[in-house]
Amino acid sequence: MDVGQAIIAGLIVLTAVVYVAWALMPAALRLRLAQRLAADARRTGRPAWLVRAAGAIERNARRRLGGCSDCSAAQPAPVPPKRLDTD
Amino acid sequence: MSAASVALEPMRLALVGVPNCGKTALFNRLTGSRQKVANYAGVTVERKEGSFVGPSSGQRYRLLDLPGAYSLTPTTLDEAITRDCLLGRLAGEAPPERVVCVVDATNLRLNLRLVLELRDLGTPLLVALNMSDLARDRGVRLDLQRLEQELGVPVVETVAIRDGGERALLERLEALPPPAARPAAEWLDPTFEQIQRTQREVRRILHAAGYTEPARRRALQRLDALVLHPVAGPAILAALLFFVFQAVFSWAAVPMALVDAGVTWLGAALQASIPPGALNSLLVDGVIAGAGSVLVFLPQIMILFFFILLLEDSGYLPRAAYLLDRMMGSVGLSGRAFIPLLSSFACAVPGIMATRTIPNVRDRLATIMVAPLMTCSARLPVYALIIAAFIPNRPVGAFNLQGLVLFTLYVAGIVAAMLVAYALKRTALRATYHPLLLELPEYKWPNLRNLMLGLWERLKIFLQRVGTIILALMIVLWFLSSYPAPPEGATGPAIQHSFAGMIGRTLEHVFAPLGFNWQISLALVPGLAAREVAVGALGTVYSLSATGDEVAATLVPMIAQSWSLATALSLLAWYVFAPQCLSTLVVVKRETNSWRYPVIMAGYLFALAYLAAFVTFRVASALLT
Repeated sequence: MDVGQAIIAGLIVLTAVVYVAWALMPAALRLRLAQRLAADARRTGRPAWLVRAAGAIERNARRRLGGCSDCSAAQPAPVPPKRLDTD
Repeated sequence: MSAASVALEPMRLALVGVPNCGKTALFNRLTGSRQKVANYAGVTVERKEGSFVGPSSGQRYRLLDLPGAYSLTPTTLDEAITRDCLLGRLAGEAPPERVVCVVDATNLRLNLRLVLELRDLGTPLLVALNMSDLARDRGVRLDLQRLEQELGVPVVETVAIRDGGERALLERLEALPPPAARPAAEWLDPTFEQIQRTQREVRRILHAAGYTEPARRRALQRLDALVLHPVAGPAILAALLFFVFQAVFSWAAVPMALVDAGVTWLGAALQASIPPGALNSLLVDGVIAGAGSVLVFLPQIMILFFFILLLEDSGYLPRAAYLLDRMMGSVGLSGRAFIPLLSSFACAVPGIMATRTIPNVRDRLATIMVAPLMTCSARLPVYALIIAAFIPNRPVGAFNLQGLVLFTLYVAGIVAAMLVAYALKRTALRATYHPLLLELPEYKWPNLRNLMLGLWERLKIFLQRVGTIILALMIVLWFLSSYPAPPEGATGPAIQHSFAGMIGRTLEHVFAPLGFNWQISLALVPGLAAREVAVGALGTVYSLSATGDEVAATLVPMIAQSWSLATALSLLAWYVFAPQCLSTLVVVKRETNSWRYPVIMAGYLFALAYLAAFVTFRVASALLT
């Protein structure tokens, strides 16, 4: 029983470590990884659920900026207009 | 390509209009989205995207909600997004095939310049005369057909906040001819003479359409005379804020007790149903004690947001900005900094993004640098935990002592922000004072649907954070706190021999002068991801540090026993400045396009937090012994 509990706890911890690393990594790196994952999954012969999951991860990576879900819709910052008052 | 396949291609449609004319409300109505709406200018500072299907044609539309702009000549970053999107200058973004210009029917004079400029671009245009019900109520007269003739584009009445208020717009939109293929429009900023000519044309069109300005109700004029009064106005503002913080504590007591009881029950149930072992400890000490101790603060956060949303929807907030302009000006901040700083009370990230509405670069940078000093909602669980453990829940006159302390902490954040802004504007970010030009919206009864949607969104965001990043961090922390196992014959809680114990004891050397023990020092580390994680981390660490009967106890009595009052006050002082929030630093880098400012921000906030906590601990220790 103890071994069974330790295995389940170990899997949960592993999942949590991967999620924390994913959520807190720089947005650009996360997007690159997600795109690579999605491209790999789209190769022929991969199961449909894997393609769908990789697509969802890629979409999520596009939306997310960092670890804060308040800013999940944030887009890249705009280029300043030419006539900004700079004193 | 067949006609059928063409119809299936989504048509790019843009919603444009001056700030606070109801674009986002219309966007939400058309797409079923729940983007934030509020009764003041500058809520939308970036383009938002949604989609819907035309009810009669089956045509799919890809709808863009663009930031408010008074014209196509931008003075701020958010206006630049609108212009660039309309002109197809955004990388990877084709220009819209149709444009809906939303205009405020109660204030047409201000809105029509943009309509005329959009018409000249040549993209098929439809004008949505929004808030038409409000205009009629206020006695606005307008010949709609004549206006349509004069403008040369279809004009349709809408009420974005009402069910079915978008129906007429959809009918006219579907009837628009398909856009002709043509090269992208060229746009040159108009000269002063051209702007004057456009304004004359606006007046001529309004005169021809028989437009009469709305009459303002006397009761509202009297209300403004009181709310904007130089003495009564600030007193009303202070009383309002004071009431909010009192309510955060007194109204939340019962729901917090219920959530707490639920979390405790769940912990006990798991403890009883799973045999002792790693999984049992992970669920009880890691998940329930960690994430559960953050969840308890949900009612307080909801009450705070209830009041913020109420004030946003009523139209009071821009008036508060007007009242505080002199104070902001005295420290060198632009009056336009008020809304970004106010947004920072929810989270510094949208607050920093809202600085895009500030035209002056130095004013914008100064606002960005002080935005994290506003007390974000993630700090509330930390404050509430320490206050509940150390500040007696007793009345002080008509007030509650705990509410008074919370109010003081919020004020401390504001005062610190003003002092830092003063220092910045006198040194590195010196700039001349720019008087505040702000459009005061009409007062409105808060819309119940908006209020409920806003609260629902906050609830989802909070639960999502607890269920994802906070939960994951608590699980990782549980592992670090449980392994390696203590050596044979070791005494005391096993956590002292774990990785977390080692990290905490190393950090304790840095934070001991502030009165922080190793558990607090350790909790500051996962707090980098989100400040409220510190509460969950304390929950896990103390749960694993406890033995025997203490395991069942909740976090509040545990820290009340373990910390001195001086330590508690020191931690509160630390969190007024708390530099730890990775998301804030990342968004500062993105908005300033430089690592320089986030590095400076993290450095100065750490220095201030350390200094404030050190002084507080030393003074409190001296006074309390």
